[in-house]
Amino acid sequence: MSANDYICETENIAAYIEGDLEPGHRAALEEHMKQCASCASELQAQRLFMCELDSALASPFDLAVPPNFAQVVAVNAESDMRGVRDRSEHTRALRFCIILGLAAFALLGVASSKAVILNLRSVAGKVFGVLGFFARTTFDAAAGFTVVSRVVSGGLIPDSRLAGLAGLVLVVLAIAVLSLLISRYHRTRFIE
Amino acid sequence: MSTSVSPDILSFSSAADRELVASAAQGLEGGFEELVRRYQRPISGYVYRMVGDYEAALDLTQEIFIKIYGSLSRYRPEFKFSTWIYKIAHNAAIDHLRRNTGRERSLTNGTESDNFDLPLESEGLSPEQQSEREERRIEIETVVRSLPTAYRELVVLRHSQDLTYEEIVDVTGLPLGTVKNRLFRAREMMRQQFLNKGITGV
Repeated sequence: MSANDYICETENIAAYIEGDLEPGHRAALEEHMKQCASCASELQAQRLFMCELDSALASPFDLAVPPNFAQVVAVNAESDMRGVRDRSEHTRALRFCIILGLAAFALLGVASSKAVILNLRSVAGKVFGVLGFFARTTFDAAAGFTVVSRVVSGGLIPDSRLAGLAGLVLVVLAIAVLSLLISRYHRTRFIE
Repeated sequence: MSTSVSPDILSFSSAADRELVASAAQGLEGGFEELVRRYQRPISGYVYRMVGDYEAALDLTQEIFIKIYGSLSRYRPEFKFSTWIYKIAHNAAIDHLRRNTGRERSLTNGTESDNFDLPLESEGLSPEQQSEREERRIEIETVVRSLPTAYRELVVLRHSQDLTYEEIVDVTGLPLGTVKNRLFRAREMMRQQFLNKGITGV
């Protein structure tokens, strides 16, 4: 590529500043800029602007942070347990917590066992008293019902087996005759 | 005024990043604090330029350092520590911008006067130089803020944080060609904005 063939493009000049051009292109652009005032001016403008950016955005203009910021952040970070420990350490910590919790409950249980057992006995006595009362009432009611039913059934059930059988036959016959009469009644009514 | 400094702090202040990371990962007191002290300003500056809000930038910076502390065990010493924390900061800033979708594309909601409220530190300059430089900085900061996020983040990493192209590739995960192309386009956009404002010499 010759200097005359070079196309004036700001992107090429930026690549030249960044050192991204191939040696042939670089030499061609340098030759071109000797003749092209526009490209030479663009090169200066881009370099100046990059210096301006570096100067304006870089130190010593840093964002002011509170004087104890590092200390506060370090304390917060060190007290923040999220993601600090690995999973096995979390599991171990959980296991220790469970063991400590159970031990605490056991110690509390031993210390207050007397009071707890006395209270439990008192509550159990009351519960059993109520249940016993209901059981006795139910038993008495069942016994009374049995006595009454015996008295009533004693008047109805005959003494001998033969009389009882005759009574049963009579009842069966009565039911059969009654059903026959009912069916006849319905038939005659239907014919009419 | 003299302040008493403990020997631990002195030894930490001269330690390399990797040594501090190792001591912090082992739970030694002071190591992580020195790391925060070392990187709090560049990270908060980067985050501020990404999110455009001083308070949000400080909160996000704290969140980033907490994430860094939680991930110290995953840090591999073959990578540069500064690049690694910029990557975490970059991801946190992008997540923050996504959560606040109204500011996703650019930070043009703020006015130029917003910059005057920004607490900055400048040392070793005369009042005239400071004033002139501050004026120029505000103009450039305003134009940077108007850029879309994809361009702004690259401009900030390259020109504010002075990262190399290779480091920017590591931080953003973008191909080198894309980084260079976007940076070129971003600079062109900014120059055009200066020209539109009637500011020549760019």
